[in-house]
Amino acid sequence: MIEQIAFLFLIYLSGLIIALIIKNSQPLGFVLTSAIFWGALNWVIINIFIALIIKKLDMTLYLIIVGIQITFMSIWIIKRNKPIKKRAVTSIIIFSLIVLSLELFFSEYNFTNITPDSLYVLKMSQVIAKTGFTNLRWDSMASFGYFIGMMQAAAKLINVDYLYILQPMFSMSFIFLFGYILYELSEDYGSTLVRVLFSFAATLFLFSSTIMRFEFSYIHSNLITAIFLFLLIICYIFWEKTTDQSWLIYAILSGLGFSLTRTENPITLLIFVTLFLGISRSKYAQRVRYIAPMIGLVAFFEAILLFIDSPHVKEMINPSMVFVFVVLLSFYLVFLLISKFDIIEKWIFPHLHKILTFFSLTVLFCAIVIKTNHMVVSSITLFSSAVLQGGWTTCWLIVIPLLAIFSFRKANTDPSFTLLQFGIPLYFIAILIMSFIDGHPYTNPRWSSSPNRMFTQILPLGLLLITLTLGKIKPKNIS
Amino acid sequence: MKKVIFAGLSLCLGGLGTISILLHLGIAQNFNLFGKIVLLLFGVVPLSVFLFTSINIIISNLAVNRLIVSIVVTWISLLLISSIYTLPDPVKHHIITIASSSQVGPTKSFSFEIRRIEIRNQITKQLSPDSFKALGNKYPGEVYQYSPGTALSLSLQYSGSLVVFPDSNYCPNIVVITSDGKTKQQDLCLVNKESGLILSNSESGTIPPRWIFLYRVIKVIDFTLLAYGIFALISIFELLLILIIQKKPYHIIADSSPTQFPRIFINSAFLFAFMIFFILITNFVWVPGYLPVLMILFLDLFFRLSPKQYFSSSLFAVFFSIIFIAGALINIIGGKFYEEFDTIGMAWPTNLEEYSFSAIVNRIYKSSLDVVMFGYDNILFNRELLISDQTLEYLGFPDEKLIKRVGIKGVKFLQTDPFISNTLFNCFQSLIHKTWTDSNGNGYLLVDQKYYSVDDPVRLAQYQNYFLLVPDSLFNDTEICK
Repeated sequence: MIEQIAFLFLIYLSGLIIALIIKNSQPLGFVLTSAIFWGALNWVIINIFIALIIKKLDMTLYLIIVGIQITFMSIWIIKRNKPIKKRAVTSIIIFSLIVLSLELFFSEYNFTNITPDSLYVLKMSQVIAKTGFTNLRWDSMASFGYFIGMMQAAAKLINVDYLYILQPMFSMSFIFLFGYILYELSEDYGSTLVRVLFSFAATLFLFSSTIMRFEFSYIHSNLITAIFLFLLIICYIFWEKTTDQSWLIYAILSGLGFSLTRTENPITLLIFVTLFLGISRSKYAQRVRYIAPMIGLVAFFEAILLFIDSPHVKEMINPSMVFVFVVLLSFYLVFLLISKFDIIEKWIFPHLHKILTFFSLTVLFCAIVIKTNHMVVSSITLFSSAVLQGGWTTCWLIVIPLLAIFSFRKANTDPSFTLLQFGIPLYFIAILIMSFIDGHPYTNPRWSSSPNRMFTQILPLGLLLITLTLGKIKPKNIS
Repeated sequence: MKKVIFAGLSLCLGGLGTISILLHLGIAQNFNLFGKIVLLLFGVVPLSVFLFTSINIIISNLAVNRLIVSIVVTWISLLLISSIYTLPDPVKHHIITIASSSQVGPTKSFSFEIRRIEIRNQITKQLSPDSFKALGNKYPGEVYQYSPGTALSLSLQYSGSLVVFPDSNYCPNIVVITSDGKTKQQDLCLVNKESGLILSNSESGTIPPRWIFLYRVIKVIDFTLLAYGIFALISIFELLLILIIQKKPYHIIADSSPTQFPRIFINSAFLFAFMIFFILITNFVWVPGYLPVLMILFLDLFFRLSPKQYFSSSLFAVFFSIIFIAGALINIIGGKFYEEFDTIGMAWPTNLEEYSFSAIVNRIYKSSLDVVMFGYDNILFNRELLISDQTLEYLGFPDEKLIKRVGIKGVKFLQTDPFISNTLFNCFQSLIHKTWTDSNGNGYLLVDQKYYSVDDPVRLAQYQNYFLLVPDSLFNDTEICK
C-alpha cells in the first residue's frame, strides 16, 4: 500500500516541478491541479525509452533520470531569479497534503472498476515491466495506447499487483482541475460566490452520470484521454487570452499525452491542431517552434508501434492503419514546415478550419451515400447511447439542446469559442466516420461500447463551451 | 395575395399537422362524421391559425434568403429523421363477447376461467388490471361462472390481436365468440395452452387502407409538422402570457433585433424535434429525461418575461447552476434506470485481502477455466494443457482468444481425471504453490513453475472442491510425490 502512495506522490512531485519550470503567467491553481498529469506523462515517456533500450523497465534507472531531471530543473528555477512567493509555497504545501490524504484514502478503500479490457491492459503492463515491448502476448499499445499500460507497469516494479489508486487520483485531480478552470473562465459572471457555485454545479454534473461515476475508477484509457484533451484545449484558450507562449509548451505536453492515451488519438489531435491553426492565425515561428515538435514526437511514438512484434497487434489493429497514421502525421509535419510560403500562409491557413470542416462533411456525406444503412444504424446507436442506454442519464439531454441553442448565437466571435464550436461537432463526425472505416456499424448502445465511452472525451468540452458562452451573454444579446 | 397564399399554406399545413397529431394519438382511426366535424373545428382551424401567425412573424422579421435556408436545412434534417421512424401504434375500440353455445343443454353449466389476456402486436404485452378495468371489464384471473344465456363481454382498445388463455372445467365446452360483429364457434377445450385463443381477426386494430394512404402521403412531413405544431402552441401561449403580463404588443417587448423571434422559433422547434426523435427512436417515455428540456423552456420563458434591467451573466450562471445541480440529482437518483450497471458494474469490495490481481480475475471470470488461464499464464505459456471432460464440463470451455493470448501450445481433452489420493494432494500442498478461492467456493491450487520440466504439460485436475494445476510429470514422479 505504502509503495503505491510513495510512487504516485513521486509522480505528482515530478509533475509539479516540471509545471513550475514551465510556469510563467499560469495561475498556481492550474499548476497544482494538473501536476499529476505532467508527472505521469514524464513517467510514460521516460519508460518508453527505457523499454526500447534495455527491453524491460527499471525503477532505479527511472529514479536516476528523474533525479537528474529534478536537480537540473530546480537549479533552473533558482537561477531564473523568479522566487516563488511565500503564499504560493503555502498553497503548494497545502495542496500536496491534500494529494497525500487522497492517496491514503484511496489506498484504504479500493473503488476499482474493471472489465476484461482492464485485465488485458494489466497483463500487458506486467509484460512490459518484465520484457519491454518484446513479448506483448496479451495486448499491445497499438490497441490500447501507451499511457495506462505504461503507468500500470509501475506496479510490477514496486511489487504490487496493480495500481488501484491511480485512476481515482487521476479523477480527483481532474475534478479539481475542471472546477478550477471553469472558475477561471467564468470571470464575467460577477461575484466569486456565483463563480464558485457555477463551477461546483458543472463539475458535479459532469461526474454525476452513471458512466462517469464508473469511469472514476475504471482501469481504461477514456478518462485520461478526456483529461489531456481538456488540457490541450484550455492551453489554447489561455494562450489566446494571454498570448503567453508558455501555454503552448503545456499544449505540446497535453497533445503528446493525448496522443499516447488511445490509438486513434493522433488523428483526433490533428483535427484540433488544424482548427487551432485556422482560427488562431498563428505565426510561422510559433508553428515551427511549438506545433511541429509536437507532431514530430507524436509521429515518432506512432512509428514505434510499427516495429513492435506482437501477434495480437496484427489481429486487433490493422498495421497498415498505423502506417497510414504515421504517413499522415509526417505529411502534416512537412506541411507545417513549408507553411511559410505565401500561398499557404495567406490563402490556406486563415481558412484551415473551414477546409477541415468541409472535408469532414464531404467524407461523412460520401460515407452516407456509400453505406447509407451502415451510417444510419451507427447514428441511431450513438444517439441511443447518448440519451438512453449509454449510462449518461441526463447529461447529453441537457448538453445537446444547450449546445444546439448556443450554436445559433453569433454574438461571440472569440477564437476559443469558435474552436469548440467547430471541434465538438467534428469530434462526433470523426466517431461516425470511424465506424465507416472500421467496416462494422455501431450496434451496441450500452455503456460498454467504445464509441459510447468516447463521449467521455467530449462532455467536458461541451461544458467548457457552455461556460464560455454564458460569460459572453449580455442583456442586449438575450433572445 | 401574399396573405391569401400564407392563409392557404397555413390551412394545408394545419390540416395535415392536425391529422398527424391525431394519428399519433390513435384518435383519428376511429372517427365518425361527428368526429370529423370536431376535427375541423377544434383541430385544423386553430392549428392553421397558429401556423399562419407563426409564418407571418417569420416572414415579417426575416430576410427571405435566410428564411429559405433555415426552412430547407430544418426540413432536410427532419426528413432524414422521419424516413427512419416507425409507424405509429394506432388503437381501435373492440367489443368481444363469449357466450354459451345453443348446443349446450340447460342442465350443463357454462363455466371457464381466463388465466390471462394478451395483446399481440409488435410487442406482446399482458393487459394490466388498470387498463382492463378502466374500460369496465372485470380483470381475468378469477373463475367466471356463466349460466346458459349469459355472456362474458370485453370492451377493449388495442391494436393487433387479442389472445385469451381459457381453462375449461369440462369438455367439450363450446362457446360462441363475437368479435367486432363477426361470430364463430369454438371448443375451449381445443385451445392450445401455449398459443391461446386468438379472438380478433388479423385486420383488427390496424389503420384502415384510406388512412394508410393518407399516412404515407403525410409521413415525410408529419414529423416536421408535429415539431412545429407543438412549438406553435407554445409560442402562442408565450405571446398571450406576455400580452397579459406586460400589456404591450409583442414586437415592442421583443429585442430590437428583428431576427430574435425566428431564432427562438427554430431553436425551440429543434428542441422539440430532439424530444420527439428521442421518443420515436426509443419508443420510450421517461419523465426525468424531459425535465431538462422543460427546464430550458422555462428558462426561455423566464428570461423573456423578466424585466431586462435585471439581466446579467450572474443571473444566467445561477440559473444554469440550478439546472446542472438538478441534472446531477436526476443522474444520481435515476442512475438505477441503467440496470446493467448493477450486474456488470463490478464495484470493488473494500477488503484489503482482495487487492490482488487474482482477485480481479476471479471477480471477472468467476469459476471458469479462464480464471486459471489468466492467473497462471506464466506457466501455461508454450505448454500443452491437459483437461478431462468432467472438469471441462464444470469449468466451461476456455475462451479461444484467451488461449491465444496466454500462448498455450494446445489443449488436450482426456476422458477422466487422474486418481488423486489424499497423500498425493498433501504432497501438492507441501510444494511451493498458490491457492485461490473463487466466489462459488471452489479452491484452486497452483503448483509453482519450478516443478515443471521444459516440455512438461500442465495437468488441470479436480480433487474434491479443488481444481489443481500441476505438472503432469508429478503424477508419475516418485521422487517429488511418493
